[in-house]
Amino acid sequence: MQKTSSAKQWFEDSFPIDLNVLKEISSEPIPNHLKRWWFAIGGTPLYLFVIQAITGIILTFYYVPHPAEAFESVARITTEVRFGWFIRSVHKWSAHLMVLTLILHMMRVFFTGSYRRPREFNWIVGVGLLMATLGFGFTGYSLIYEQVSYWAAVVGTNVAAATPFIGETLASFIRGGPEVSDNTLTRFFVLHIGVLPTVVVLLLVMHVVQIRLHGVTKMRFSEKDHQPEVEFSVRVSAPVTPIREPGASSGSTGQSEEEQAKEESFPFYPDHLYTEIMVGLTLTFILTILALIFPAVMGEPANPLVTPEHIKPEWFFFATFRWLKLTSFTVGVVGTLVFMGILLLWPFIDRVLLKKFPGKEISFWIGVVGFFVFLIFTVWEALV
Amino acid sequence: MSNHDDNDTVDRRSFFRKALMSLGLAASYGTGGFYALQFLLPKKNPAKFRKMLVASLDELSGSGGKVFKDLQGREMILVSTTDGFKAISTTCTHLGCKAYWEPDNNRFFCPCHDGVFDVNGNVTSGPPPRPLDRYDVEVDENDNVFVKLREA
Ligand code: HEM
Ligand code: FES
Repeated sequence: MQKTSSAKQWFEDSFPIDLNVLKEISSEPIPNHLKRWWFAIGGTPLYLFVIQAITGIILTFYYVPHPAEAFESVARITTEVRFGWFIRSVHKWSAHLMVLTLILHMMRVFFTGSYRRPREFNWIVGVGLLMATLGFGFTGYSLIYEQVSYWAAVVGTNVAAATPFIGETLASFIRGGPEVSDNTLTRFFVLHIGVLPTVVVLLLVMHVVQIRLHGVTKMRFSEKDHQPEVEFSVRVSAPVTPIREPGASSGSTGQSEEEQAKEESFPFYPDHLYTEIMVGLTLTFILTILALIFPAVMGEPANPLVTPEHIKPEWFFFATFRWLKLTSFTVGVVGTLVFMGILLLWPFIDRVLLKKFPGKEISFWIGVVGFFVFLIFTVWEALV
Repeated sequence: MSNHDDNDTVDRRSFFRKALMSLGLAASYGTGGFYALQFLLPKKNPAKFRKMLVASLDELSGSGGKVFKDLQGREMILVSTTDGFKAISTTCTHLGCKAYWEPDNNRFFCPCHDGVFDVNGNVTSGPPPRPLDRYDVEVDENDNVFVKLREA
């Protein structure tokens, strides 16, 4: 018997993996348009989620999920624990950026029609990710146990309670009782550090597997397609048409599909990975600056007996908050639910619209109007 | 496919086997899931009420109302409505914030979504769907005013 127990041999014996297969899996061809940041923005929330996981685990070493101590423990993290203020601030800012970049990612998917067949399922997974991320925002805000935290939990769970049919059960599940009480903080904590992370990881796996299975939607920007410098035009819906849809032939250049794909793409590894690393570094830089200039601070401790005169949720709930102020109770809650339903089922609604009004770009305009309403409501709430 | 004679019997038997197995699995995991759900859903305890002395009649004559605290320490207000005395809860009927009694404006104001209620607890503006909760008031022979309140 020969002694070939080099480290390499040991590794190969322990992990009998075919390196060529690995190479193939990792060199997924990425269409050239992903060199435009707008198209690659989906990687940003992913990166931020990793940051959330790391900073979140670190924070949990000191956070105490009990109503009598939660606020104090956050204060201790902020003022006493070494670099506690920094970790907390990065966690906070990364959360904001995650929601922001998710909205951008969703808009790019929406306005390029990338949710269309066969990617409907991945859009739905995406909406699941959005809801889970907003869930993170909601529960995390309440964990601090400030005045605004407490009352956001009251209002938020009461919105849930008003859901037709399952509302009361849902709300008492989230609160751990008929109203916000000591149990509620425990439940928010479990959701925030246990349930939601698990859900997000599972959904992310589905999301990425779907992207790998279908490939990213290919785009044609204009006739001058092959020049990568072509500026991405703002009128998204018309000139950008997904190609390589089922049944569609791949253009008139006479090249085979494969040749054309090669010319229009670059490999995931190393090119796209490098891009993502650079994006990651930039994000780290931005987060550090934000944490330094606008560190997370402490508000007033929660007082279940008095609602503060100015209560505001996080900015990403501003639009909903404004909507609740503008409408009656039922319209307010049901409207919110209907909006979520439309978002979830959008790919199918879009298909019906396309059939009914061929060539009318109705979906595009619905998206534009929807986005501006969201924007106006958000700014409106921010200003008053 | 085999060219077995009693293909049918085999098929039927394997079908039954699969059906039984799925049924068993569904029943056992279903029961487990049901128990898990019961574990997670909080128990509903029937509400208990207790009478509390909150004022005497002389205190109330003339004034707009009397602010007192309920058994959880939350503000309530005792007012004279068209149906006699009522204790009005300040928990907003919209989404549960605490409305303030504004003695100067003779109204309740909820800061969360700008809900406004009049002295009887009726909605005058904003999104709240119904009047503030009112509790019955009893006055005994010594002019003591009692309110029946929910225990914590
Ligand atoms: C934690 C949240 C999310 C992460 C990390 C994420 C990540 C990604 C990544 C890396 C891609 C590849 C293309 C790109 O970068 O744009 C992608 C594609 C996609 N995402 Fe997301 N995403 C998230 C949430 C969402 C949401 C909220 C939606 C929509 C409701 C969505 C819908 C889609 C769809 C349909 C595609 C396929 C697009 C195509 O093939 O061109 N995703 N996602
Ligand atoms: S909770 Fe009082 S107005 Fe909404």
